[in-house]
Amino acid sequence: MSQTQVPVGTASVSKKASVDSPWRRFIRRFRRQRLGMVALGVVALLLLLMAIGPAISPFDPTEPDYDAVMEVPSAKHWFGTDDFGRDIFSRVLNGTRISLAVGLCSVFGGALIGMFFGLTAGYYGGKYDGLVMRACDVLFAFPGILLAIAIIAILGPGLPNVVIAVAVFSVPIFIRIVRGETLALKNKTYIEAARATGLRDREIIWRHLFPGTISVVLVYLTMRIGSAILIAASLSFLGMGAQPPTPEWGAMLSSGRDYLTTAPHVAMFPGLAILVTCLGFNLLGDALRDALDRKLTD
Amino acid sequence: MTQNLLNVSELEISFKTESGTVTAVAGVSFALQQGETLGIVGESGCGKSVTSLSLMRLLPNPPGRISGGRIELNGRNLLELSEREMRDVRGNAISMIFQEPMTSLNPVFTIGRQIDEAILLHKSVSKREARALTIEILKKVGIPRPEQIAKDYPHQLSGGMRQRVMIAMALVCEPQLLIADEPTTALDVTIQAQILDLMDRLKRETGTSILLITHDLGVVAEMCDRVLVMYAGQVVEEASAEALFAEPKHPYTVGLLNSIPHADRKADRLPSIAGSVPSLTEMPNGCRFAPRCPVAIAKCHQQNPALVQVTEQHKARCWLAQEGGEARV
Repeated sequence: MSQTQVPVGTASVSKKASVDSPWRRFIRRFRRQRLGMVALGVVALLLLLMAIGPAISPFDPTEPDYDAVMEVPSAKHWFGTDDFGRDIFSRVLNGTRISLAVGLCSVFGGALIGMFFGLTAGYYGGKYDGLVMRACDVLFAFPGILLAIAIIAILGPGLPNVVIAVAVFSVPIFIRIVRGETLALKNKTYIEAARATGLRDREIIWRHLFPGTISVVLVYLTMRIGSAILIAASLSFLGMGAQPPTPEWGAMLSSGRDYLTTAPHVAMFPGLAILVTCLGFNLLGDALRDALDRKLTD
Repeated sequence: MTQNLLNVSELEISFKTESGTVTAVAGVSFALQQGETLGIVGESGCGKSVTSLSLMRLLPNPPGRISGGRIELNGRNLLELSEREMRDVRGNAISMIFQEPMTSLNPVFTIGRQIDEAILLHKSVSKREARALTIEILKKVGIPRPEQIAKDYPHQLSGGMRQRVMIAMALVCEPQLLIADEPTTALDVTIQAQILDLMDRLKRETGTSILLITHDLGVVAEMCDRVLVMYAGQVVEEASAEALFAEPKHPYTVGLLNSIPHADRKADRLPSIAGSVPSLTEMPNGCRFAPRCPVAIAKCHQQNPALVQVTEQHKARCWLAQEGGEARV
């Protein structure tokens, strides 16, 4: 005995026009934020400079020119020259690649490790969760920069070690936020429903929980890049990161410090570069958060 | 008599709480035949949802634990299966529909992808074939324009539509048993009727057995062949649907039936059952319903009666019913 199929839910037909996919909704909400769009522009420009910076830099960033020491900004040297006569504009340009690479690598590394532990700790709970969270507490007990210095002290100075140091203290932050999200998500019926269809834990975590945590991770990731760059620059400033003559912003700031009263431009331009970069990533993070916030509706 | 699809015997489920271990389900037994619809009725906290989750071995553990009994599907004790074997049962031999259609679907994936996932998990088909099956099952559950709806996200559908999608997802692997935990509670009355009709039609087409968990006796009357009434973690009455409605044997069932409004009976105020369900930590010594029972006798407060056959189609856990007494209030 078969009945005729009665189509229901014709209401969704009329709704169709105004409702769109999560992705399109996100784009629409993001574009509405003017500051966020500016920040996106800044970050895009930085990424572009990261790619092509060395190719377009007018001078060799490490080549000294003792005929042009400490020159003020001019048509030839836009940002002036430093105590070795190196073109500061070229050095800042080349430094973009270093700073961004350090920032991106350390934060992505930290986020990956953090997400793994956050998802598993949140999902499995119990003793494992307790262990992971206590380990985070230990890492949280130290101020970030102090922890980074301690790690550098063990591993020795150098940029790769700065990446590791910054990644290590990013990890607990990501563990906490991802675990928090996981705890909220795992009690949703659709996770129970996924288990009821016979999915294994690994698949539930990867296919159902992980996508749900992306939005928060993305926001923190963007914001952390700014502070990671700042910390990396601070470490280089303290002589624990990039070694001379590498054109790293923090290291440049450090060497320009001695001439602050006589030639402020030596320290100013790398400082400005750090400022713009951090601001760019932080404002982008803010805008992402507002655009991805599920609690806000259009 | 044909072989039972599902045999649950002496199921006991306990929870660890701060005030010690409590037994949420104590010695529940029932059987379900191929193509039969069994209703489990009871108020909140009586153990019906926990029972259904334990059939899938999805009880959150800790704190919950199946502390005794057997759950046999086609003669195979599910409690002895490994986690890997159990995953093969879930979604394949036994499927489940949940109460909340609004949160039962993952908001970040399209409807189609979620049904595809269930198919790909249990059937060796290509993604393209899975999608074809998805479209087919969506059509079967009465979703219009299934090709387009499959590309929609859950928030674009109404509650009734989502519950249809859940049913589609549950039935796509042709399970032998469908557990429906209050499938219509969160829906409007008109949609409720549509969903129940749909489940009933699909059951007849596929021969799936349904275990229907509900607190709505109206749903039971419409859908079920047999009914299990649960109170405080125990089965208090088991009967065919007709027998239960015609001649309830347990005072609790009588109370439940009395509290339903009747179209043909005029009443100023619906009768209710006085008192509330005893806390699991403070179960009375005698019959668990005795403190609220209007017809309780002295014996009821001292000894908990067993669930015994009172007529051919009827079992009840009541001293009065056993002694041929009148359970009617």
